[in-house]
Amino acid sequence: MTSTMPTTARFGVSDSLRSIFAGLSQAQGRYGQKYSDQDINKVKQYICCRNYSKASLELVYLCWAIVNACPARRGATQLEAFFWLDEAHSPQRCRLAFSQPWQGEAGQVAITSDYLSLNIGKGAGSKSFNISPARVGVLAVLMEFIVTVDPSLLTHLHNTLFGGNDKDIDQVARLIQQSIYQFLKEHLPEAQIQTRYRYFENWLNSNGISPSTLDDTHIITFWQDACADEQAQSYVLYSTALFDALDAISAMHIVSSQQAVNFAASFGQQAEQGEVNPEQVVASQFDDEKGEMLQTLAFADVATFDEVKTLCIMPKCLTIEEAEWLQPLVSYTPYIKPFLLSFMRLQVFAKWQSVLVQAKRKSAATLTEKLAEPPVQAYAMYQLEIDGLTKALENTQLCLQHVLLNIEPEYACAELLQQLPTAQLQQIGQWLAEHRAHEAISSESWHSLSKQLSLQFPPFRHLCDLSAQAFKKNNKAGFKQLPSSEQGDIYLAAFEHITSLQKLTQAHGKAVEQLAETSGSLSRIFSSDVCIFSHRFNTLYGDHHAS
Amino acid sequence: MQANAATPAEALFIAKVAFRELNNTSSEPAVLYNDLMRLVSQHAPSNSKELMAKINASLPLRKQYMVLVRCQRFTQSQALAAASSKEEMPLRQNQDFSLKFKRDSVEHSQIFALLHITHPTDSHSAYPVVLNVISGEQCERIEFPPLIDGASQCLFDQSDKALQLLLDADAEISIMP
Repeated sequence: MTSTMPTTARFGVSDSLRSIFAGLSQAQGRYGQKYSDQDINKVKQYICCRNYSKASLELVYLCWAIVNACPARRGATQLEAFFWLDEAHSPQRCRLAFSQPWQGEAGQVAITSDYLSLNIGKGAGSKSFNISPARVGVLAVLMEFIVTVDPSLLTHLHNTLFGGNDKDIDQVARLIQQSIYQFLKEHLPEAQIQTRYRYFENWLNSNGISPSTLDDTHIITFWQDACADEQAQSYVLYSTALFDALDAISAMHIVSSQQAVNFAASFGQQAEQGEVNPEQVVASQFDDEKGEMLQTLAFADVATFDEVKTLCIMPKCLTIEEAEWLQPLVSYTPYIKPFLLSFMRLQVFAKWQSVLVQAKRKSAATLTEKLAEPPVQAYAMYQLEIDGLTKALENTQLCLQHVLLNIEPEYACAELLQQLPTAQLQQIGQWLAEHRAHEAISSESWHSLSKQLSLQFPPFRHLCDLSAQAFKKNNKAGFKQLPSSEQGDIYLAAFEHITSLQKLTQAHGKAVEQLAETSGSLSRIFSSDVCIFSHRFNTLYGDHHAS
Repeated sequence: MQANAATPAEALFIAKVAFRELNNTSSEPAVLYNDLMRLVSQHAPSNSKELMAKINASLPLRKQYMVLVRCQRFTQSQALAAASSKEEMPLRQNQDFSLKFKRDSVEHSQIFALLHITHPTDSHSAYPVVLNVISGEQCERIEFPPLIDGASQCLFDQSDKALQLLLDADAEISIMP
């Protein structure tokens, strides 16, 4: 009876939308990964907050400059050349693309030390607009997004903007906004997501729980209640229930805090109206100020580095399993301590659930087999997982250190020095003052300096040796041989991310230790959880649902 | 379903949940314009075979790809006249290039495709030469080694799909710059 089986289809954002962002993060360019994670994340936030009208307008201004000021080329339009052949979306290459100032009937374009300066039109009526070269990366991601959503926009941009004026720019910007709006109407089902919020809110109210008193027991009860409720949209996955609950209380907390006063006020008018007609909805989509506020509030606590999986590619710092283990901790850092048990349940039992989901796709027999295999490691074993991850992170850190000693010696030396005890540091400080005070240290001489420090100070050398040994044993992508110095940025970023992940893992390990000491019997909680989850999964995936 | 206007908390929740779900990148990546542009050029992405398969499976993508090939090509050979199409391994020749086929004398199941370009571009000698073959509902992208003295060759097994398309007298063969 598959009709009674709860389904996660059409529950959240569509596969198409997710696949576009998957494509963006995997897009290859002439210089490696084409779009930076930061730029892609920015566009993700624009889309999620419906805050894309300002960026769309900026993109159109940029396209106007490209179409009019950049030279034509055989076989490709100026836009294709800029965005895809030359990949001129880095600040450096953007400056190069506009190195020749342009002046024509439609206006003028020139690059200054700070901006790409546009003047649309001529004389008194001309309009000026500035674009920072640092912004072009985000706009390039947005360009790739809109061309995927509506390929005809590329030709339209070219034809309208060539010799175009300010009105043409506004018109095309509107068109882009409409395209995105129509696409998101189908692929970002706000109404459905809104229903999930209301469902959780109702559950809190009917159980007399306030957002600030929500705890681990409530979370697991919510999941079980929602699972059993055929009216519920779909809370089959424990992970969905946990994350929805946390996102909901986070939203509630933001709104109830002082920061959100202006934001809430901007909603005042709409809230009174209840049902709104589509045109008003469209108009409100393009309310820049509200969109900006929403984006700032929603993502204030999101680190610029949010996707751990990016550390699995180049350099390969983590395995996919390690990245998946860490991801929830990164996304919900402030909630790990107050909801520690919920996260442990996530790491242990939600994992079992995804095994079951995969088994269900394979065959009924596999599913039955996996259902009979609950996790056997008690939560005490969870500590071992954390230890294992800590070691893996440490090892990656050493390998990155070794690379950086060679291609970014100044940064690496500073990092290594920080790991030495104060007494050592003082000695080194004295030595530096005696031997190198008179010269400024260039990056080449940092290299020889690090070698000298190695010779003079055994503890420093020991750290360098550890790093070198770890690197030698590491055969993963990005660590097989020393990379070129142009890739310094990638390794620096990886080093910083791994450092923050180490801190996170350490804090988590300590918290679990404390829980084990204070709660008396983690194994009792574990046995009870095995019962709860086994029972629920048997109901969800057991014999009478196998098909 | 017409939703009621979202409250501030709901709007925040929607943004956060959408962002969370977009980060679930276990989805199959979409084929982007970037992928199409790279395939058409000599700087192919590492997953070009998978990409070509996706393009061939999607009419809109295939149309886009064909437009790009036709805009950017260096030279081309349209479908052959009826007389030539009767040959087993039809020769393609015009003032810009020639493409001949020769069966290997030892391994009879293998066939050489011999390419000669009259006035090659600089990249033809520095990078692989890309041929795009369009036949009916299929596109195929074939790389020949960089030219030496204007010539290059590729060895195919006679059952190779790419070879079949090159031999197809109705196929449109484009050489990219």
